Amino acid sequence: MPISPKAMHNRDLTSTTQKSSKRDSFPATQRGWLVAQLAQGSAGNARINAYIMETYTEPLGNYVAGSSFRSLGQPKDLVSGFFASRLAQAGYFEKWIDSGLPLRRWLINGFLFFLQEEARRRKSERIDTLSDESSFEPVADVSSAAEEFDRVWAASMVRSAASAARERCVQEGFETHWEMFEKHFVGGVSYAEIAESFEVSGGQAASMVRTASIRFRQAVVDLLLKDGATEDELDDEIARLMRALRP
Amino acid sequence: MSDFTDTTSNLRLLAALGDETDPVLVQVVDRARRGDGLLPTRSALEGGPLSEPGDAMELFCMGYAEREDYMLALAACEALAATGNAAERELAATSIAVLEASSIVYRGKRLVSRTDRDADARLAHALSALRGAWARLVASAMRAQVARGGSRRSA
Repeated sequence: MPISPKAMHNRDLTSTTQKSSKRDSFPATQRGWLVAQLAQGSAGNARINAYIMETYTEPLGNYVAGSSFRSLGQPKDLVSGFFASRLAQAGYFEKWIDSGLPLRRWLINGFLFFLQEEARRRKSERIDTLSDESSFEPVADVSSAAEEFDRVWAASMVRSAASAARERCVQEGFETHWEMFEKHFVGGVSYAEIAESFEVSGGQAASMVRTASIRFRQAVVDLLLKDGATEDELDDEIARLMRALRP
Repeated sequence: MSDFTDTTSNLRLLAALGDETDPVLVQVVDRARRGDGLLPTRSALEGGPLSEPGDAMELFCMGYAEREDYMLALAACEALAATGNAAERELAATSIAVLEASSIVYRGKRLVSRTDRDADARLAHALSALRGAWARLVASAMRAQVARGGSRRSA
């Protein structure tokens, strides 16, 4: 028999009471996760590489697809080539830590450098074979490229965080809470209307939406911390990403 | 469920990370979620800033309040919010939401919220802490908002 939203709300209250408020707090790490992985040697490096490829392939690919570098090849192949040339380099992430940059900024800087190298290499190959051909060499302004990458990274990060939060809600039996969260924040449906359609009180609707929004916030914070933001910088980072996403 | 492929959805999701209305009311919702028993009690509500102009139940729940009564009670709530401790600030924020509900139900207009969407969030957040007659008042205000098309989808 399906569980009613009211019963789910009550279960939610019991669950949150039992599990304490600790899960609602931010993880107490900054660059901690990557640093901890680096300390674990090759196993840690493999985890870092897997994380980088999972998290940054899409935004790097989207960036190159919208840039003048798209003439160099398929975005996916270019990103794979970049990862292959950089992630195996000794000390690549130690250099990132020393740089003090957000990880996404470190990666887009490296990616631009890689793309320029690639463009030069192809140009010299063409000159060797067709000496009279004038070759187009794409160039990028690092500052505007970083802004553009912030935009595609923000969109990708928000999608990943929403997906992770939704998955967590489903695992914890809060699928209805997530559905209400989406309706309210993305669909713009009022609490009053949500309460009516889900047959809960307005207070229960607010409480259930809050349950999902806390999980979404945690997912965003987790990704921002892994990208190198410190806890003090989180609000500024979120504001920066919102600015980057605005048309 | 959405796959959030458009920028507008992404922006709205990021906006969800901010406080929708009075941030103190978000704390009230969190207390209700955790069930820590520290929500404003009925006697605290009726004996707090809402009682500044007289009997809070008669004035604001039963609808006998005049404009001056709303203003007096609102000023008392704002003073408590500015000077009180955490529990008193939560009482003040909840009381302001009750005044908002009373104003919507009996005067047909908002008292403090800038938009219908703000009012909807304020009322829903406060409702998580209220029981009995006060909860019914706030629920009526939320229904009244829907009935007059105030809480239309405008995000």
